[in-house]
Amino acid sequence: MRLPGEEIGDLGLQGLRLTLTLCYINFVVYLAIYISGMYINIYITSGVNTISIGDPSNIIHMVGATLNFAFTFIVMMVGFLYGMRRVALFSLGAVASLVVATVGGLLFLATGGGRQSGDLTLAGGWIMSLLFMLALFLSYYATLKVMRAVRILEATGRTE
Amino acid sequence: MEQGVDESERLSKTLHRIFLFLYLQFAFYWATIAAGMLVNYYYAVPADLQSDFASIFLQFFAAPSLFAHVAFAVLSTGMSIPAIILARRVRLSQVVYLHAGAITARMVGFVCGPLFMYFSTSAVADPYAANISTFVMASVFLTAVILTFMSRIFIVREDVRIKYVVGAHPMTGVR
Repeated sequence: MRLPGEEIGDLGLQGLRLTLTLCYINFVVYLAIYISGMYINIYITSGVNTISIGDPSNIIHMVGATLNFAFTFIVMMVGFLYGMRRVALFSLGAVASLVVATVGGLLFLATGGGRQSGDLTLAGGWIMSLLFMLALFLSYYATLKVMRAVRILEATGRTE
Repeated sequence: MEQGVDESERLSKTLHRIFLFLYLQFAFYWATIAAGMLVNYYYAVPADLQSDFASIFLQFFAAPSLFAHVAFAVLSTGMSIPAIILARRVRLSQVVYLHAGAITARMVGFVCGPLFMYFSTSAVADPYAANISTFVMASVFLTAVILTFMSRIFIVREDVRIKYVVGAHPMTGVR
């Protein structure tokens, strides 16, 4: 179905609703990463202490990041495969941001894992945080596009 | 019929103005985070900082990253005001409440930020309270982001309603 100025794609209402649910779950994971990252930043490193890769809070943080990557990647593929270019491009941007953010995070850990560990550690942490937030915003815009497509199909009474 | 179409166009234009302010708001949110990260990793509260309001307030002008962080936080919060005004015009009460909630959350953040500095001064030196202040500041920032994100859901819903329900059937459109 084609509507001028709108991206409905070929996925159908059920598929879009499923994708939207995945997008919402992705946001819950983003929230978990934000809170765990904030916890690590404030209560574990506290500006001076270091953190190792095996720290439980760091493991939770990394598992969350992996889930974020997986969910965002699925949404991106849905966008590419079912003709939703903007969903695909926003998600692609989010996936790229998450990849570079992960590299930043690993750099942070590998070079000391504390704010007093040196310039490279700080750069890693800074890149990680900044690109995580960019990924969150890009995923949000992809979610809005999926939600708009769902609403349009519902409003026009079409299921495919 | 003509009047219904005019009304739809007017509503649609107002909604798109709200979208513009929300784009700006998200850009400022991101800039706040970027500057906040610079503050987080590169700024340290000076050892000789006095624990009074004037000294703490002047710290906002002491480091460019700190100044940028606060300025972008104020700007992103400020974008909720035109969003509220425009949302009132199109009677989107959910958007008004969500942005009012976001402003309130940010106000708490504006108190907790200086409190972090206060508890970090050598005269007070209470790291536990300083940590709590930072945690609350970051949490209310996230709350504000979530609330403004949610407001966009209602705006998109209304935009679709105007285009595909009211626009298609001007006399029978329902929310």
